[in-house]
Amino acid sequence: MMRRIASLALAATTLSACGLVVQRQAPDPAVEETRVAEDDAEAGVIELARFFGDCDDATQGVTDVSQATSECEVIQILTNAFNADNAVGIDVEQLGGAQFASYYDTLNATYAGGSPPDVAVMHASNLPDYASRDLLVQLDDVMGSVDVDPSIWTEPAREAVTYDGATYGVPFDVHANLWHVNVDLMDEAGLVDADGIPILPSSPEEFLAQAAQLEEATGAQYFATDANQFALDVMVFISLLYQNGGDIVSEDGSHATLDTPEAREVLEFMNTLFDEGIADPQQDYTAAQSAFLSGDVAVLHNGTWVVNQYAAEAPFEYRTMPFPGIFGEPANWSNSHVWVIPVQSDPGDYKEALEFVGYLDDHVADWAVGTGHLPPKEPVLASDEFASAPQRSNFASATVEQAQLLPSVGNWQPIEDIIKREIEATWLTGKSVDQALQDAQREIDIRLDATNG
Amino acid sequence: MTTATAPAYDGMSRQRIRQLLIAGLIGVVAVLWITPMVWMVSLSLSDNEALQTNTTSLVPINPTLSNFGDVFSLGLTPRWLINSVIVTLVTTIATLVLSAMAGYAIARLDFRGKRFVIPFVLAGLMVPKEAMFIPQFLMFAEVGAHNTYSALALPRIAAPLGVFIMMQFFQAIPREVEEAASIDGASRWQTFTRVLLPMSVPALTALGIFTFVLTWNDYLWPLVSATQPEMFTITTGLASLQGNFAQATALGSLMARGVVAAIPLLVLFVIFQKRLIRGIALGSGGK
Amino acid sequence: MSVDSTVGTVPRQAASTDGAGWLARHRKDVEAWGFLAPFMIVYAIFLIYPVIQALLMSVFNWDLLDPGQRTFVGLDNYARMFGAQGLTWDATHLLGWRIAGGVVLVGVAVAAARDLVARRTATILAAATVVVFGVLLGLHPGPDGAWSDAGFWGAFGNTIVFVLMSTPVIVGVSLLLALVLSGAGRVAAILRAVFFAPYVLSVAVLTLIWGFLLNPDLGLIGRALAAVGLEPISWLTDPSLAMPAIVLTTLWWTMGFNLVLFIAGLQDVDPTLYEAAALDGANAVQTFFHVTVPGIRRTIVLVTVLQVIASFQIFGQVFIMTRGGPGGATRVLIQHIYESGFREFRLGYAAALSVFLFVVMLGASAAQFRLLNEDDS
Repeated sequence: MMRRIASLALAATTLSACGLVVQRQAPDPAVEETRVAEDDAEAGVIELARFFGDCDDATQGVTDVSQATSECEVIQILTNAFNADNAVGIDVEQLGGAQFASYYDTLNATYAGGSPPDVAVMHASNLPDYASRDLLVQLDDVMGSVDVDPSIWTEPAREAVTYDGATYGVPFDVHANLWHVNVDLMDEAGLVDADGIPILPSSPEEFLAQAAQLEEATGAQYFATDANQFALDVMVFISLLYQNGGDIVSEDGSHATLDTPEAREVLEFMNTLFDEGIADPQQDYTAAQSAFLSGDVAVLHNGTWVVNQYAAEAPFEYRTMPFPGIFGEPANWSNSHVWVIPVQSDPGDYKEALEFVGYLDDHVADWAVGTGHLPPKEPVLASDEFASAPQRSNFASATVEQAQLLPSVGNWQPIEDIIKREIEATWLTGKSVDQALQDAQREIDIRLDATNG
Repeated sequence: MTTATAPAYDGMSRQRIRQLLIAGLIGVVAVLWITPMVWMVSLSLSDNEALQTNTTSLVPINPTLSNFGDVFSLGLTPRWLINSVIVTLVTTIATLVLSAMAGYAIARLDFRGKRFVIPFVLAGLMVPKEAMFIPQFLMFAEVGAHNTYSALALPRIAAPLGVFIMMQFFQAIPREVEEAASIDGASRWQTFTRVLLPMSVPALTALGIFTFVLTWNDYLWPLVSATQPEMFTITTGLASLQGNFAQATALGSLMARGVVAAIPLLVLFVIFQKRLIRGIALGSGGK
Repeated sequence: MSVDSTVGTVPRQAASTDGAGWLARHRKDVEAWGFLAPFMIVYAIFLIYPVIQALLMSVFNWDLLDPGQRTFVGLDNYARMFGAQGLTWDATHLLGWRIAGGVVLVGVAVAAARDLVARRTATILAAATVVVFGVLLGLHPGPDGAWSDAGFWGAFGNTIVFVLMSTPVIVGVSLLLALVLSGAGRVAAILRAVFFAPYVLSVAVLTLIWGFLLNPDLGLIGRALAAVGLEPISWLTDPSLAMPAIVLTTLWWTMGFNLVLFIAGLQDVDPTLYEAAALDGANAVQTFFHVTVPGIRRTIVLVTVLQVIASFQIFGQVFIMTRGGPGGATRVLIQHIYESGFREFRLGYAAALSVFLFVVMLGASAAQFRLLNEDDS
């Protein structure tokens, strides 16, 4: 009996070992392209994966995008309109409800489970992980068929979708972080110029001085940002690092460059802000936002996605301003939302997916006007429609010019997690700046080795 | 006489006071305990707009049933509920059947390899189910079986604890009962199904309820296996609605969905409370 | 008689190898395995096989999404988990935990002296305590060195902290409440329902409620504190309060399960024992320790072991409420496994981590069973 069981166990083990060695065939993206060009789009259902939240309550049955008041509503209404109007009869089903923070985990699970969505949104910073593994359809030869014109893309937008010389996505926007300013408070503190435009600091010393000035005059908190929930604090760190002449990884992407004097200066400065009470390390995203909207905070550091919302809701005079150059020439963190077409393990048609992506590309203006994100096309950026949207003239072109995309390396998600954990440790648990940056550098190097090695 | 009665009076009131204190303490704790759920219900009945300014009222603000209406008309919540019901029912019934049969065999029957089987099964108690999701994920991925009801139910059916409970229960039943049945001409299977199973209803109820609750609330496995929203269970589906930037604007609806997710189980518990406790007592094997 | 009539035929049947004879002789086994088989099959496939597969995967570098990147690497994953550069040893590293180890040692000695544990168990325990607290805890990377996976040690430490914090609290509270609520009567039944009710909530609903409860601006607790004039506490963003907040949430959620188990156990205690104790003039405390505890010993063991097993595997509420924050203060092992696999694509490493967790839990459960079942006659 025992012997029989032992031999069964041995057999089971051998079988599973064989299973480990069998490789699943990855479809060749180049082959898929020719198929796409030949077929016509057919009616059917395609699956869309996106974050941006859930807002069915507000958008059920709505197809007029001018009614949208948030990111979620714009994209949902655009999708509704596509479903209602497209000549082919394609129905887009949203693989929705993905939590923003675990979107990529879920996407990875769908890939691993063999059923990725037909169309997905992605950040430019995460694209390399999928492109390098041949998990995205190359679009160079086929995007013309749905009238996507790469020649009118802005520089950051083009960079966002390019990997290893090929195009793997269609950019929807370029987004960046901004300073959302309560002009009334600045005025009270005497920090506005002759035209009533708030004066922003251009050096660390000025920052501290102006903060003190404002707090004395108004009793309000000068600066607020989400310091522990989403990666807003990472955006501040990276922006300042860029300004200070530093970067996260080396030019060739082989090692991190965080254990450097530039990074140390920046991180120490951020800690000074928290230590001196200029910003509150315990404010999360919602808390920082409500403090700003209730008029208790002069400057809220947040992104392009809330411009319309604040313009509509702020009970005080509100102005969106580009991230000022504190450590030198202005520069800021930026990323991009791109639409990608995952490679399917069951070789099928990508024509329907392409139709939808082409449609979204046609509507980048709606997205830019309805949210606050920067359009990826030069003509739209320069258009009147865009310029007349709330606040755009105050920050848009300046931000596009000074925007610097995140490095194009694999494993960006864990790398961002590491940076976030280490810098937050300095102001939440008192870890030393030197130690935090050293640890971050080492951990990131391990991740970079994994993708390069 | 007075001295004799005085101590008796004192002693009784001291005990009474202690009893009252304990009762009062329990009462306070119970009120605190139930408050979060009362709050959830109150929020679910409140108007979303009003909740943007005030979220701490225990009484519904601008009471409305529209949030519940939204739950069933928008989004996939009804579909998620159905998924949860199917998966949980299948898992529970299968677990009960398998555990009862295996528990009976181990408790009552003599067979070759028995000495090996018992520790083998008990060892399974210590396998961290949650931690084993990686190989289980791969197993189903390689046959392309994710996003199915089978994938959600199968890994949860084998429950060593269930076998353990049923085993202890069956061990406590006197052998005479079985012997009487076999004298009457019943086969082993008939004895099992017609005599022993009905007797084990309390233990089965207890096991059934715990399996039901555990399966209903399973989070990590459905998270990685059911990635398409139509296959979400109510647990992962609800969790997916939180944590978005836009969470703060529809608090009432979110809470309403939570209430809807909780009601089936609450009803189940209220109905089965007594049998649940009795079943556990018997299933713990007494002494 | 039937026996006689088969006596003569038995040798002939034993000699033959036809199927009917084999079935007749092995009927008992076949029957028993018939009952056992369905469970064993599912069990072997879905519980045992994954453990074997986890072991196998753990010696591979297994990319989640790229079939081309799956290579055999031997013990590399384990080296990465436990390894460090520049390892040194210190007598005072993690002093707090060392002192706790000393306390444990004293406790073991006292228990041995009072015959609460057998000598052999006590010696084993003492040796284990010395090895872990005295020797192993002193290992740490020196000033220029570092752990290969610092996140792992953080997650492991947080998990241990959670287990140590939550087990006594949840078991203790449920036992105390069970003592009071084990009686008959409608009031007791209602109160039992009140305390059990949270158990039926799913983790999504739980985190919804408690995430808002604990919110300093929007939550009830904050409002209550403000009413008494205290500053609202930001539980989930304060590194030292986040884990206690999670313990509190878990207590509210799962105590009902233990409560029901304890009540069932208490109802089994022979009431005459209580009468005897009362006659002997025992007070409440004495009765508790000399009648109740021995009477529900088995239940206490069961509840504690189940609680420890569950605590080691905590994931849902932490992941949703804090995502391991603030600053990694609540990041637990399962989250590390999940993220290594699904965020970093390192499935082989995730498998190795799972194997580690399994071994730890096996050890903890076995130790508990052994220890707490000592006096079971």
